[in-house]
This record gives sequence, structure tokens and C-alpha cells, in this order.
Amino acid sequence: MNAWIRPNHPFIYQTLIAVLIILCFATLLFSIWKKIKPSPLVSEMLTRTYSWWGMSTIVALVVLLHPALGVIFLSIISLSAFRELSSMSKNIRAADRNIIIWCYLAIPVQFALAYLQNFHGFITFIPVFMFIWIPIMLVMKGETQDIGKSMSVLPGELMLTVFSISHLAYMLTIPISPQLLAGGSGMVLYVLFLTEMNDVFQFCWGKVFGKHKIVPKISPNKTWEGLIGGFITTSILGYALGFLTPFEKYMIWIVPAILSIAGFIGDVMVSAIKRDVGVKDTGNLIPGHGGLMDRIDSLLLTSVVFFHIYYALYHG
Amino acid sequence: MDKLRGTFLYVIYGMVIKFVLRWIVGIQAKNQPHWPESGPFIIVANHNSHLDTMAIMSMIPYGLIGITHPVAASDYFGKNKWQFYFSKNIINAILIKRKKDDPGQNPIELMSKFIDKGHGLIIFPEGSRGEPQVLQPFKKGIGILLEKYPNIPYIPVYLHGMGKILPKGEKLLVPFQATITWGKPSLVKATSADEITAEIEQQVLALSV
Repeated sequence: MNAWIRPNHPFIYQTLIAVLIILCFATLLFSIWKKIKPSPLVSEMLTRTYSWWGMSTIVALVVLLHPALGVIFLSIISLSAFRELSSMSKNIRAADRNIIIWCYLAIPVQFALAYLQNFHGFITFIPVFMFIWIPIMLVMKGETQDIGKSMSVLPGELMLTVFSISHLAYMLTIPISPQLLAGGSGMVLYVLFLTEMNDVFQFCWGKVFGKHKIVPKISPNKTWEGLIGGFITTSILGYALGFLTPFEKYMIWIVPAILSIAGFIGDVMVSAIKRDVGVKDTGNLIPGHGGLMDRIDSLLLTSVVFFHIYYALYHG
Repeated sequence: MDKLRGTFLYVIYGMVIKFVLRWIVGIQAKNQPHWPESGPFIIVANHNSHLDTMAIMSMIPYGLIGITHPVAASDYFGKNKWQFYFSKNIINAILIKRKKDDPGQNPIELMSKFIDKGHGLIIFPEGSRGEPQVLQPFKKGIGILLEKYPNIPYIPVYLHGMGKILPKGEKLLVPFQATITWGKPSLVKATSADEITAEIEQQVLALSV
């Protein structure tokens, strides 16, 4: 066996094949639709589908290759997300540039702790250590005007982008056990697939049946119909994919339902930040989707929530 | 020799620096450049940071990078022997004097020599890097040069946000989102040096929206 490819459970291959079939179906559907009845919406959906191909390939590589490579990949995603967020933030002062570099240096440390499965270090490095380190560095710099904002925003953005994604890295390294047939990579695949499908479901249900807006001022496309439709569909999909997780009985229903809600919250949270800054997208990294933060906004919460449910039930 | 040099520069800029700028520092190209088949050509860009040259160089294709030279100030980039060697060989720069009384060749003559050889130039007509995100008036040198060579295409480039990543006077590079926008290669329409300078300034500024 090649050392760079991890021995995976057939469940993982089955799930990846299912993703492949969905992508083929979506590409075919939108291509034919575009031929028969072209419209800007269909063109955008097709661009988005092409981007999904790229993103799915990355996910497949993260899951299938050696966990070390997957962890490096996830750390670069974290870095890009932090960069997008800190670049558009109104609450970071020009004087903070020398302090921001500490946030970037924290990324490899956090991901190394995740890879080494040092749970205590992993869970305290950013919420405890960095929450002390950044403010003291700001104090040493001596620029007091608006210092409170920087003290809370910098570690906060580190939590939102780095701490959250590093949970996927920690999960990725969890080995296969009798409880966890598909291993940590199975759970990563589960969270990624479910989170992104939940976004798609909410979007589709909202487009077709959407009427009652939830937060019209922040995200006019988010409706109760979309949220509830997504909630139900995601729960069913989560149940069907339950073999990737160690969850049993009623938990196999509850976990995807919680993920659906967490995904929604992450989504509107990032939308609110974008509203405040006055931009539509956080960047232009992914064609059709916008920036990286636009795509992984729901993942920022689902990865953390999922991990802690798992950890509380099976490692407590 | 030129081919070897081009390969060397391409590995540094087109591969290593391109990867770092794209994925770590966060510089995105808004569009892909169009290139003339061969030199001579002149790339004209606004200037806020040392990264400007790096970002432009990282996008020059394999066949052209060996014959493309950033035009830089000799009093800054040729300060000592090491810096001189580095600028000449690693940055592939042409060093010109900034003030009339400085020793050395006339800048226009020096640049003309490379254009006559069929090489490309990267020129920052603002002269120095200045305040971040503020466009300073263009200096006349570019106008004089293109007045002399009206048949050479110029490629306008607009760089945004580089001054936030590595501002003038700072040594620490901090990643931020930044963009580089390429204009199409075109020929100057105006005829006098002053008008050409104004025309090019406008073309660069037009890319900022």
C-alpha cells in the first residue's frame, strides 16, 4: 500500500461515488437546460456546478490522501478565510498590521496540535493563549485609540476561521475504531457533504416555495420555507449517510438536524458582516460563488458543533 | 544564455513567487494578461510597494520573462555591491539615475538601448512608491520614451492593495487581499510627450474600476 494514500473504508468510496453522480446529474441538467432555455440564472448555476467539481476534487483528495496532506490543505483554507475576513474588516486598525502577523503564525501551531491529537493544547491554544497573547501585544505596541475593538476582533476572527476549521483537521486524524468504521475521514466527509448539501437544499426550497423572510435586512433570500425544507431534507440525507459516523438510534436523526440549523446560523452571521462592510461577496476566489468565506460560512459552525457532539458522546 | 536566464527567472517568479503571492499573501489577478508575440513592449503600472514588481513578474510567461526588465532607481537599488548584483541578476532590473546630476548614462538612452534589442520594460511612472492607494502624477519619462517609439505597444496594469501588504518603509509582509488588473496592449494615440503621459495615466486609472 502506498504510504501517501490512507486505507479507507468502502463507505467513503461509496459516498464519493454518490457525490460524483450528483455532480454529473447537475452538470447534465444545467447544460441541457441552458441549451433549451438560456437565462442568466441557469448560466450562473452551471458556473457554480463547475466550481463544485473543483471543490469536490479537493475534498476527495483531503479525505483519501495521507491525513498530513489533508491537514496542510485545511490550514491553507483557514489562512485564506482569515485573510478574507481580516482584509474586509472595518474594525482592524492600520496600526494592527504587526499584530496580525501573530494570528498568521498561530495557524500552523493550531493545525500541528490538531494533527498531533493533543486535545488539551488544541482546545485551549486559541481561546485561551491567543486571547491573552494578542491583547498583550496590542498593549505593548501602545496605540490606545480604539484598542478595545482590535483586542476583541482579532482573536474573534481567529476563532471563526482558524479554530473552527482546525476541528476538521483534528477529526481527519482520528483513526479507525470498531465504533468508527469509516474513521475520522468519514466524519469529515459527512460534515462537509451535509453542510454544503444543506446550503443547496435551503437555496432550492427557498427559490421554489420561499415567501416568509427570516432576516430581510441581512439576507433577503433566507426564508422560513427554505430553512424548514432544508432542515427536513438534510435530516433525511444525514440519516442515509449515518454509516460514516459512530452515531446510533435517535442521535442519527438529531445530529444532521442540528447541523442544518448551525449551518444556517453561520451563513447569516457572515452575511451580517458583509452587510456591515457593504460588500456582496467576500472575494472572487470561487467562480459563481464569490469568496472562500461565502462558501464555507456555514462550515465554520457545523464543524465545531459536530465535533463536540462526537467528542462528548464517544470520548467523555 | 538568454534562454537559461529566462528559465531561471521563470522558476523563481512564475512558479515559487507566484505560488506564495497567490496562496499565502492573497494577490488575485482580476483578468489574464494578453501578451505580444515578442518584445519590445512596455508595461506601465502604478506603484505602492516592492510587491508590485513581484506581482507583475510572477505573471510574465516563460518566453518573455528573460527579456523583461523592471526599470529601477540606481540610488536605491544599486546602493552597494550586493544590492547592485541582486537587482541586476535576480530582479533582472535596469538601474537608472533619478536626478540629473547623478553620475551615469541618460535614462532615456539606457532604456532605448534595451528597446532596440527587442526587450520589454516594466515602468512605474509615479517614480517612487508614495502613500498607499494614492495615485501620484506620472513623470514625463514614459511620454518621452513612447514619443520616440510610437510603434511599441504599452500594457497598462493597475495594482490595488499592495501598499497594505508591504507599505513603504515597512519590513514586515502581512497577508491581505490585493488585486492586479491587466489592460490590453495598445499603441499611444497622442503625439507629444506630455499628452502621451496623460493618456497613459488615464489608461492605468481606467483599470481601477
